[in-house]
Amino acid sequence: MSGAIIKVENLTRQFAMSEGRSGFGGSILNLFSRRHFMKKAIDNICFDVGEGEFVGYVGENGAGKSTTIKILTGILTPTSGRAQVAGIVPYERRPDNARNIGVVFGQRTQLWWDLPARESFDLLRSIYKIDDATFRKNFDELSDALELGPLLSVPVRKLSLGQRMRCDIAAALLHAPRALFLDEPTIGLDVIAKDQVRKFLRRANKENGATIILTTHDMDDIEALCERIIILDEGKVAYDGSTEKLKDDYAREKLLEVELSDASPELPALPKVEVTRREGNRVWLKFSQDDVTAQEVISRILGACAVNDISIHEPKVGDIVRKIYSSGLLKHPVAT
Amino acid sequence: MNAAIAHPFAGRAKPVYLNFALKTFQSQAAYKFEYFVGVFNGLLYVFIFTSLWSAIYSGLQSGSDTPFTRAGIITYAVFAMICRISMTMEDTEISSRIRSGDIAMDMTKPVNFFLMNLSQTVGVTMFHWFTRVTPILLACFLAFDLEVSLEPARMAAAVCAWAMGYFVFFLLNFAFALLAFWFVETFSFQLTKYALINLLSGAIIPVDFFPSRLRPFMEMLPFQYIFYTPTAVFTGHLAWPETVRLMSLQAVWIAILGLLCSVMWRSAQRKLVVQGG
Amino acid sequence: MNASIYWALLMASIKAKMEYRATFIFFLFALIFFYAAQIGTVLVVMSKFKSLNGWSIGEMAFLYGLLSFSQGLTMLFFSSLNNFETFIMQGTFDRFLTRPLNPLLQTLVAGFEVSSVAHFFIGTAGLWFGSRYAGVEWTGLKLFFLALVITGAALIQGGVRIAVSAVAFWTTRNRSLVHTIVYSSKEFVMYPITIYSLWVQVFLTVVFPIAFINFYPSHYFLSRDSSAILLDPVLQYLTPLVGVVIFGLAYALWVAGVNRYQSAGS
Repeated sequence: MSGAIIKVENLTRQFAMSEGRSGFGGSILNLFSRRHFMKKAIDNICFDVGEGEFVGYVGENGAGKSTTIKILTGILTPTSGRAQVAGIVPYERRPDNARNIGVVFGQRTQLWWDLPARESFDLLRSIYKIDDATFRKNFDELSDALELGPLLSVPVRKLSLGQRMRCDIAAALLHAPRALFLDEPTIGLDVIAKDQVRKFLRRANKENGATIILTTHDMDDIEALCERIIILDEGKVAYDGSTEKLKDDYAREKLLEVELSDASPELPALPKVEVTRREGNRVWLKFSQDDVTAQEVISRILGACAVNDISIHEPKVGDIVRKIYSSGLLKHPVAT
Repeated sequence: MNAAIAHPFAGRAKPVYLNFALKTFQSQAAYKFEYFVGVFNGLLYVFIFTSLWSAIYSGLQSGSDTPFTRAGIITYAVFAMICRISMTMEDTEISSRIRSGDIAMDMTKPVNFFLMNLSQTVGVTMFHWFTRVTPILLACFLAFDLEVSLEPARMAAAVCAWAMGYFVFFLLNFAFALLAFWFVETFSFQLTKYALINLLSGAIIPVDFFPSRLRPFMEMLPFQYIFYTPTAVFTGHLAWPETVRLMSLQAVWIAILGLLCSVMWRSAQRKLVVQGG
Repeated sequence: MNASIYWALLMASIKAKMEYRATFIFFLFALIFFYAAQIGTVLVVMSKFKSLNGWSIGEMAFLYGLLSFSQGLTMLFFSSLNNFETFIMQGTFDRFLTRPLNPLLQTLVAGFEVSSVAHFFIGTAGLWFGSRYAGVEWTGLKLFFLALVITGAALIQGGVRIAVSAVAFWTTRNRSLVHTIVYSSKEFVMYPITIYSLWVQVFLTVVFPIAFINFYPSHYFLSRDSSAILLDPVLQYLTPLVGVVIFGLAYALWVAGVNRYQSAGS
């Protein structure tokens, strides 16, 4: 895909690891010798991210997410392969790459702890050499969107996690970077704060065309924000495609919840449909899209019983991803 | 935007490294308790060492051969301690940022890491000059009989020697801090550094008191150029030829350590393993 | 039953430290080097001047050795107090309060500082060289009293650390205070306190009695002229007593602090 902002080609990164023995006696032996071996954090991964995409980058701990992000932000060099962000190889030209990217680490702040948030923004203005007019415009927009007004003069150490995260996100966007990397931005936030952050990110992506890579364990984030998802498993890309397609491909099963008007009517013959549960008036029906469509099942039920309510439960991204992990590396990684 | 409310960012952006220094200065001011403790600590040490030297010298027979007069050594002790206080540097922050992975934040910014640290250190130094050096200096002038001639040429040389000593110290600390890229525990290195500085830098004992056999070796180490040289120049303890010689050696060490830091930094970047996170 | 719990916690601490292998040995050496350099500064001067206020090199070495050795004992038990303010800030102390064990003991066991070995080494070296150069004759009685003095000195230093840590119950942050009082006070008594003006000597004897760590008892071991001692020759024997008193006062302050902490919340 030409015009891709981020290009990752055959990226591999190994680490030397050492393993020690356990137990008290073991800890003494460890003083003399440890077992050394090489571990591949990421293995030959490839993907492109186009301008304006919102990509979810997921994987279990140790799957290689942070390693990839570190390479793309220029703080780690790959063992082999190549990466480019906005035409610059991040680990070769770190300062230049730094001007094009914004980074938010969920558990760390880039703001100065003892000073009011405003001072950090002032410093960033100097660091990125943003001209006055642009800075004021960007700042005003971000301040409005993230409601930073009352927070500006509060020392960062006194801000709540949610408030600090809003400031961190603003800080990452002040210089209008071409790519925004978010690492666990909603971790530890309460429901309202999470919602605020998600709303903002969605707007930034849809209205301002921001290119965003989101690394997270929170599947609700992905569900709410990412139209594309890349799943890493043990250093390799297990899935790379739209989240819709992910559901289509891997969640062939749908769950239908039917509330009948009658307590126990006779359900019509529903071949290939499994009744997973009955509770009073409610019936839960499970079926695979390969066997029968939701439409067919519904029309059969409606034809035979009096129904109060029907809802179709869509598979959630989180469930799918969990299923993917538990079944191991996919045989057919799918890419758009 | 309502014109009556001034925009929080009216005015121009400041040059980046100056801004770093200013922000560090500001954040130091957040810790009020530290002012007093810092001043108190400094005065304590001045007191201890001037008492020590007085006691040592009072035990001497008059006319015995020593590199300093009693008044001279008291003056030296005071200014050496003030010199040390004026160059207080935070040397654990870089290492802890490397260990915690916070350094990743610094590296995703388009700033020169070395200059950023230098400007932050300068910010702290400016703060210490205001809050520690000034009161301690005043107190010492009142409490002691200090012999200082304020001859302009010598003062100019002293300022220059101080600045160079500051650079030597900064580069030394920076090099040691970078060791955190290769070693998990760098405290042992820091301890060794402190040991050598305490002994050899002239903060407590002027170089003159060391056995003459050791002096040439000491000259080959960077330590005496940190505190001894500026203090000795300032107090007029050195004749001009010696002053010029030592100051040139300061410059030499700045070059050597600068090269070392640059090599280490490049090597660290190549290695670029960020631990944690 | 309680003892085995403390032992288990202690073992866990030691194990954690031993994870760092060669760095551990290197650390000990670096520490020894540091303290050697510290006294080395004075000895360099002494080599030129022969005597400091009537104290010879050997006697100075003894003075430092006594300080160092007792400090080793102190570090063995009380070093975790150096970081006490982090215990409060990170809520670790709260966890101690929820357990059915004495919170002070838990605090002390939390940070077992193996580096105290370095202090023992330097201290022994100082005591040994000092007593040889100063011609000390060791009798059984003297050795017994040495043990008492070292214990007393450790109690004084431990008490000081406990008291300074207890301040954190009121002010939360006390790191710079800890640093000043614990480390700067050591600097004071590295030298015979007679080099200071009279009121400072009184202060170091009566108000902040750290002179009892090494200065006064040294008179006994080195058989120095005790009539020169400020106030009364009996001071050279008082270290163990002063240790108990200081420790008791410090513990009382600690208990008051814990009570205040529990009632004020954090």
